[in-house]
Amino acid sequence: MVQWPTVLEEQELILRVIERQPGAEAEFVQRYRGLILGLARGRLGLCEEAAQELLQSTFATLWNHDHRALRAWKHQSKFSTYLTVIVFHLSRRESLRRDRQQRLLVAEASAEPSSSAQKADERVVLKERRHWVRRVMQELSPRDRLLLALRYRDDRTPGDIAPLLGLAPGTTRKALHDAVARLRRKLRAAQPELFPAPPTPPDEKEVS
Amino acid sequence: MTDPLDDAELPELLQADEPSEPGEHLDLPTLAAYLDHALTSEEAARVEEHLANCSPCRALATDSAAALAPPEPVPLRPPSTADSSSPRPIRWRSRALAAAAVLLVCLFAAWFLLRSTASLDPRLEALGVEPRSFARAPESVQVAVLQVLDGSWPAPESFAGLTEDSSSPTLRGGAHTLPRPIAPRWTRIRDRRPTLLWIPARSQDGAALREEILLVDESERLVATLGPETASSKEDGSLHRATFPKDLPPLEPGRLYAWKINSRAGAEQVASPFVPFRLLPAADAEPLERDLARLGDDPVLTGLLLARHGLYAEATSHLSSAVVSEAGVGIREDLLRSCLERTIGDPELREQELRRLTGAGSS
Repeated sequence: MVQWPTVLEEQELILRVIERQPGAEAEFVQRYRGLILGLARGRLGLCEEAAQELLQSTFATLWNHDHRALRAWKHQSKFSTYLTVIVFHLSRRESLRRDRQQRLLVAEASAEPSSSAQKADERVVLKERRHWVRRVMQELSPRDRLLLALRYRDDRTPGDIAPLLGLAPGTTRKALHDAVARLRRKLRAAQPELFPAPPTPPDEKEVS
Repeated sequence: MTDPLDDAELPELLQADEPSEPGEHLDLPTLAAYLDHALTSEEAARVEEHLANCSPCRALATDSAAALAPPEPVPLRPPSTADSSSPRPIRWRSRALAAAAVLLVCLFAAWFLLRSTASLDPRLEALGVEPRSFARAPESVQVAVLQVLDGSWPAPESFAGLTEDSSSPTLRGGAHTLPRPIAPRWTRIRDRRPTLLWIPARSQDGAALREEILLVDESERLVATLGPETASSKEDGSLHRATFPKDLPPLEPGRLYAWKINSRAGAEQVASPFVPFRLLPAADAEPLERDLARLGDDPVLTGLLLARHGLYAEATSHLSSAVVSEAGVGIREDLLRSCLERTIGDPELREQELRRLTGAGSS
């Protein structure tokens, strides 16, 4: 059975849904139900009830406001990619909503410990270093900034980052290494006192 | 000593860099197009600029990309510690085996050539090839001719594992015959702006059908829509043809493409299945051009050389001219049929095309 290519058949089906042609909506649901439930159960690890809820809210999002989300699909991407993004977006929105409720419940009970233990001068240095990192980051390319954000802000591994950038994991590791090297070089050039170069290792002969 | 700006410190320093309120988020269709690598480099840089500063969009993009990534390939063999401890004998053994295999192939080829050329001349004449042309032909063509004379043919190319499936649900409306793609299909081609040839759909009541040709690449992206407004489309007897538009960038060597015909009459539509073809890889083009230049204009040898490179559609046109030009050339018709068998799976359609090419059906 030829599984490829499907994009143009997707375009035709979606056009028929938007035009409200008889049977098109049912065909659409039949076609994409498995993809959404697969993402919900497999990738997002939801229970059956939550997976069904996500399925319903995904179709509601696509149908609402005269199929606004369907109409917004750019034919540059596969529809399945667009649908995957929508499913993750809805799932994320729902978990944020639950987190917010949770935080409201526990906010009063758990006050942040006072940071008075930290010495004032250390805080000043850290603030200064952060300021320079923020400033130097702007001189890097968008790709470098994205790589650094994914690795060090979001704690993603090169294996996680590679599919997003369409690179091989090895290439991603190299790109990340280069981005860190560029950041270090620029920081040390801008503020050598705040970001001193690492001390050179002592000669092995002297040690022995 | 560790670097004071080490991996452990970078997360802490970078945390505060995130703007607290990034403003508008990326729209989901743009993010989907980015994930499919379908944006221009400028558009992609804009998306990456936003992602670098927007944690929610970044999380959404990374999670979606991970879900869309193909599963990790399963290694054929688990890594063995014995292999890494003693790599030299194994590498040496595989090299020796490879050398022995090459030697065996060379010996077989030499025996095959000697055996075949002994009684070659009458068989070449039957094929319509002059022995002198054969002697001058590149070795790859000589091997091709000998293989054909011996009844063997190069293995067909795999089109990303696709198979022809004539039962695809492509018919809606029911009152029309299906349009049928004729060329190029299941073949390699050289022309980066190919001409597409098809049998048009026919309506039972003779109503005019509006035709639209859709050409997509292997990533399922629409490359071109050929129609009256963008293509020079004209009738060629019972066939219709459309040429790839000059205002679009040409197709890329080595890549897989597919095309189909949509024919509409009012609300009714009939469509052909998608048929694939591949542009000849650049690495193969150079030796082929060299061999073709040495061949001259012998249509049978040219056809065979093209077929050896998987260029069946082009080979068909050369072989058909050899069939048409002289009478009593049954063996050439067999060659032509062999070519068509590789591109057209449906026997009825194949015979119809054979009749058209040889002029047998015109009477």
